[in-house]
Amino acid sequence: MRGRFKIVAVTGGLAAVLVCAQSLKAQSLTVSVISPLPNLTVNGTSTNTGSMTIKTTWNTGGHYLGLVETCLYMTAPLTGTGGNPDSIAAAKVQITLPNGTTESIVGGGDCGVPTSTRIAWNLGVLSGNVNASVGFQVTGLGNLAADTYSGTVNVVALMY
Amino acid sequence: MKGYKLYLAVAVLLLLAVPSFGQAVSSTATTPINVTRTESISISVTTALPTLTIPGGSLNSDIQNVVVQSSWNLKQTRTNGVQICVSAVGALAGVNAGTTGNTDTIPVNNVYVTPSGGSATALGGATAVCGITGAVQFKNYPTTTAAQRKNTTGQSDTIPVQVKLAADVAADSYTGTLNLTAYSN
Repeated sequence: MRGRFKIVAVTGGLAAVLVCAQSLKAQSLTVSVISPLPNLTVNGTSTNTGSMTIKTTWNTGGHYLGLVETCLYMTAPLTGTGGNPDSIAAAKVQITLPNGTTESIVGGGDCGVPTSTRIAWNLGVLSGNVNASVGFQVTGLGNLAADTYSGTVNVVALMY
Repeated sequence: MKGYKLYLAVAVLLLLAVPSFGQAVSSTATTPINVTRTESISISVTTALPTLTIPGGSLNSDIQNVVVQSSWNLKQTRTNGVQICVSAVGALAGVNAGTTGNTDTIPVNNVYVTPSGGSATALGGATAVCGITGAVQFKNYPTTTAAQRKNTTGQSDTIPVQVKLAADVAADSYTGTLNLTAYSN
């Protein structure tokens, strides 16, 4: 009995050391835009289509698995220059996800960000990265003044 | 049975030793999205100029109107206005010239346009308007405000045209072409 207890204690201790050693590795999660969106041009009530590519890189910090989701969101409309009062609402920015579905960039909120739209969801094993290509088109445009309208697309990832 | 207890104890220790896995959020990357509406400007004739008639014994024709419709959607930097201009290239030659031997023509500078709020002005002058030497500016619409720079509903202009001969010409029909231009720089 005493011998078996030693075996259990020693085995458990080794396991704890091993796991704790793994836990010393820091988790990391980064996103970057490796291929930005080209300028879009209005033709009628919508623009041509363009795409951007987003890279998500993760390290689970020693855990074997992590769920990694990548999201896009905008917080303001696209605005013109000078005294141009026209603008393009963020909701008119349509994105085509890697799975082929198209929806507004103003989504229900993922990645812990309200109104964001999840573009990719991955099972992260230890460490790795994935690229996601997202199509863009602006639709439902009215009688806009001739101008270049600029906005910002935010990219964020969440691992859990 | 005792072996199972050993494995169970190891498993429990492993589970207890697994560190907690909290959420990790990346920093936010940003990238621009730019959408361009290109500018446009157009003009079309909605009512063609009727035939001008020069009565016998007179050098002046009656006055008739050409009606044009123009529209524009300009960049915010175009604040110099939209000019509506009339020009012509070459003389108005006799329709039957070459077949009946009529070599008379009506020179461009015998064709007069009355600018909005102005007096009749001959085409073919030495100055350039609308980027065209010899054109006559009918009107200049201001584009100093954003609303003025976007006139996509259209603007109608009625332009009076008259021929005032410098010298009499043979009885004939004389045909030429007027060019209507909407211009902004």
